Amino acid sequence: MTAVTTKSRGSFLTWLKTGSGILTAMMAVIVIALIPAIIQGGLKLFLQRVFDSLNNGAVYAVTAIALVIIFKATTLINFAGANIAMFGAYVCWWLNTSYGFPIWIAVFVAMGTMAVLGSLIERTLIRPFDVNDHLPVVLITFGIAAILEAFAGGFWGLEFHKFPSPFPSDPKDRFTIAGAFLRYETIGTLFVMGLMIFGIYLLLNKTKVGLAFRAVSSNVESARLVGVRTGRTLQFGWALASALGVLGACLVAKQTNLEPAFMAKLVIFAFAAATLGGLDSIGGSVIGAFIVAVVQSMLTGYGQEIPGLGWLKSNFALVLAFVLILVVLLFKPAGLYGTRRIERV
Amino acid sequence: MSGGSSSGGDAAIKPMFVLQEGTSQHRMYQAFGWLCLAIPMILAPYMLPSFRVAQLAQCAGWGVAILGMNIAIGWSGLLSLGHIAFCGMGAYTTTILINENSWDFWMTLPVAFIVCFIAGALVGLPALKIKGLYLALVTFALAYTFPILLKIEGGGIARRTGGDNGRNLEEKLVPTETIRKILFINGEGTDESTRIAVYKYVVAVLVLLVCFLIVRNILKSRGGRAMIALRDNQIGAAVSGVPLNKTKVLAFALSAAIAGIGGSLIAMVLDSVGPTVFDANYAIITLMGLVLAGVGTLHGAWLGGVFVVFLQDLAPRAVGLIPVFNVDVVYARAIYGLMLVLVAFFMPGGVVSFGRKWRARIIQVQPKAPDTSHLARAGTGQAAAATAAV
Repeated sequence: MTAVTTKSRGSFLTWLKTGSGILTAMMAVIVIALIPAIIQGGLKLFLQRVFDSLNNGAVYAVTAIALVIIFKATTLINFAGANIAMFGAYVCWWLNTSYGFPIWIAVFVAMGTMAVLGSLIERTLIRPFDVNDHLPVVLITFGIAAILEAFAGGFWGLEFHKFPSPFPSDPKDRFTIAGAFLRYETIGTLFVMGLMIFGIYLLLNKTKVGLAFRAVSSNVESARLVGVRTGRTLQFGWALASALGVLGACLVAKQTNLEPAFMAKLVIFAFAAATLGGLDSIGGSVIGAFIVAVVQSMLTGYGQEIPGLGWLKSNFALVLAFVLILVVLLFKPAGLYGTRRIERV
Repeated sequence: MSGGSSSGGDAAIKPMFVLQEGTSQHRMYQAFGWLCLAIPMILAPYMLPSFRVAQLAQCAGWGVAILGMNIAIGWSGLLSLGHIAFCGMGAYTTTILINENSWDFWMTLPVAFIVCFIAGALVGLPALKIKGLYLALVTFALAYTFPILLKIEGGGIARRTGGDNGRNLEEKLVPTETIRKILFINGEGTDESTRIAVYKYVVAVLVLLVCFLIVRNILKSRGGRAMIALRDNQIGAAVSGVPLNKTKVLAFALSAAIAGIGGSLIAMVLDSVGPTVFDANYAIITLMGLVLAGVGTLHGAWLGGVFVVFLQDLAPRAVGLIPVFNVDVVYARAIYGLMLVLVAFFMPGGVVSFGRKWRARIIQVQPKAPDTSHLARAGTGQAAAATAAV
């Protein structure tokens, strides 16, 4: 009997150290920290903040998945991803406003364009280098980011552009739940994200190219030995990631407005989300994205009301993301649901 | 970090001159090289207009910063994209000490060094666990976060740093009478702003020279060699007795501290600090300066700052030469990006390694034969055999 108790206690501690355990503990901490705020501010305000954060969460999730796909395939952190997405959003906006493309067609054309660009980047600029030699690859992704930002600013100007919403966005388009407004846009964004995750799941698990992708992300050398065309598969990964990034950018551009740095401002949160969830785990990064979004919304929303935190401003959320990245990499480098990487000599 | 500069293919080309290390010719050659560097640097402030002198002083400041970055990126293999934040810390330390506590500029340099050393150690501690690209990710986030940290209103931070607007240095660096005499800037022909520009240039270059010598000696020391060993093969270094954790943290802290000194110099030269000088944009520009000058090369420090300052000047003009684009400063960033890509492809060791590769075709220095006298003194047959084999 005693032995069973010790065992169950031991297994509880072990469980607490796994991703799910940490996740539950984090949720518990967040909920407990929020109880006084909910009592003070009322349920309506709380729900409103949760609803507001959902939209951000979905966008962070899409952007984080784009990063995760490239990291899974090549163990490369794509610093250019944000600006590829930004450029795609510009293309979409340009097609929509100058050529009158319907918004969703414009989104798909932009996704296609940037997918082609992404695969070209992989083929011409990334593949000649050994990914284990980090410096050149980082330089190149940085360089691509700078070039795309400059060209977006050069073609379309540095000023803010209004981005057409892909969803009904009239102020009246909303549900009212317990007095809080849930906008159709939020539901639409969540729906598109869900659809996209389902699509990626099917693509990676039910198709031949998905199988090749999983083989390459598991072990490049073995994949090559059994006849997978690794180069093409990596190209496919870049194309997929770029297209997803564009989708995320198009979903968020309505709120942030278009300007050459608008995705670069968001990408730190996507990095934080991906790091929290595990840089090689798609599901983990989605969970991480919603945690980051909720905490960001709550801290900036309730921060002013907590004594001693009156100096919190909305841009302080970026500091939070930095601290999150640092803490996760320090104490659980694999993230909540990532694979632990064992280094071999 | 495969420099690729000294590949075996060059061995086939016979250089015009071969110098033996340690001979008088070699010493003359070295002196000639230093003179080629020193004479333009000494003459420049007296020949050029004062705004160019001020720019050159900025170059020296960025050069120190790049020297610091090089310790982490080039010699220790710790890929950091956030050294601009340490630069900023140094600059703000200097500014705050001068403005709030009316310190002398010279006194602020050691404080900036210590502040950045501690900050570097704090960020570097994770570097023990965070490897390769993860460290790049953390430091990249740091570069984005630093300008925001400056604007925090609690604890008087925004009041001291000036928030969005930055701050001007209230007490500017002015040469004393003796210094004016030594530098020949007490004459009638020049106005006061020129004299101050010359003085600032001299100060910045002297600090750069001191930092250069310090780093050069550190690299030749036990610790420096440990750093390089760590970069080349971490496990091999550990097996050979290099304390990994200590070396990594110290290397990162030292590089941060030297970058901080660079920041102090920049604040001194510009007479102002602001969040826009130390943001993610400058993180890219300084990284470009570093890789263009040469990753892991000491002499990159002289060139890196020049690239940082003058490419910002030249890039918009170069864009203006291309008739297709309308002349737009916006495209200048594309040039920085293009530079990063091109360097990665064609000059992995930067301009310095590239120059060395060409120099090897003209002059080659043969290293001294290893000193085996202590082996001979031991008098074992093995040592004699080893000497014979050499």
